[in-house]
Amino acid sequence: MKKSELHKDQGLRLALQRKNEAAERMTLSDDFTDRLMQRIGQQDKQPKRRRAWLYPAIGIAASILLLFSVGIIFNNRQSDQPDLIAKTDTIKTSPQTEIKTVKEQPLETVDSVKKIKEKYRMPRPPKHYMAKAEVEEEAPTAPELTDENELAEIAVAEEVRRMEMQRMAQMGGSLQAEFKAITDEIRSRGERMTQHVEIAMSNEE
Amino acid sequence: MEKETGNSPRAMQDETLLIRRILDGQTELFRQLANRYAEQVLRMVGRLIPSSEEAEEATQDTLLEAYQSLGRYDARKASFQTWLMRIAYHTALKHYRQRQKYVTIVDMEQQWLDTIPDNEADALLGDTTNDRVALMEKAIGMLKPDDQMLLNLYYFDDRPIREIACITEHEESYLYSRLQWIRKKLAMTIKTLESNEEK
Repeated sequence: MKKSELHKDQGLRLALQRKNEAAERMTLSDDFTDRLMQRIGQQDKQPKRRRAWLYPAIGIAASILLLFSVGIIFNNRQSDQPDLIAKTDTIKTSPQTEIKTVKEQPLETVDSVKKIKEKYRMPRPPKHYMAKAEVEEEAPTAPELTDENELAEIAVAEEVRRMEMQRMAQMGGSLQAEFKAITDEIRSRGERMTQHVEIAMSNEE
Repeated sequence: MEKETGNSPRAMQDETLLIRRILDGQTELFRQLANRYAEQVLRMVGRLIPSSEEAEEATQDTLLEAYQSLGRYDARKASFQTWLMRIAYHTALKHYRQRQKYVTIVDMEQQWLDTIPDNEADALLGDTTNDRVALMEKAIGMLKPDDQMLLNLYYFDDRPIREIACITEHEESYLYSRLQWIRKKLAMTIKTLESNEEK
């Protein structure tokens, strides 16, 4: 619409004139200005309550803002320094927005008792143990030493061991000697137990 | 009650001095300003508020608001009258919305409004026959209150668009396009009302 069209729409102007007739005839009551001045006087007398709550509110808002900004700055300083490279290379996704895909897995129908049995079943001994046990069964438990060389070897070994013990004791390593004795004892016991187990298993079979 | 209103430089100068004295503490002088503009404000708010009591209350509210905001008035931006009319415009809209919450307002889609050609709208709104004017009156009442006020400021008061922009706090370009839109809307409503009457 242009300024030149201002004088157009005569029908619309007429309609507005008719519509506003009542408003044009309106008059103010005689005491209108007196009442207005009275209201103004009352307003002036009233203390300005607005400021009573306005300033504390501004103060609270400003302190909250300050705390917030300090928090943000502090956070940024902490996160900026160590992992600049990591930040450029990785895309972080929040756990809320991340799309999670869950693979459907069938429910396990394994009998729990069976499972426990399987778990605690003793493994079968290796074959060479079985063969050895068979041989030992056939052979006498205490091997007879017939060879003089073997006897000599054993005697030499015993002597060496005894000498070592003596030497260690002499060197003041009594504790070491004791430790060695204990370990030897444990070892021999272990060997005996292994033999017993092997024999028992072969018997079972 | 004084009825003189002046936009002459001397009157404006006097008014500026008067306002300065009021702001300096001579509160009673506001009575002069109230007497000068009260009826003008009443006529403006009365266009939206038909009840004379309510219109008078709105006028009181307008002048009280003007008194409270007097310190913010800038004579370089607008005359006191225009500034006061801005307050009256907003007060009238506020009162209208408080009073008529369930008023029937015709709102139309732009696409529908585009179906009516400009020359047809011109013909409808230029028609001064009684029946058409009566329908137009009815159609104006179905507009939004701010659109009604805009029509009045432009067609009835013959105010320049710059002044209307100051009163309504809208851009001049917006006001032109809004007026165009209101004209189409009125034309469409008149057509609808006529077809309803024929049925």
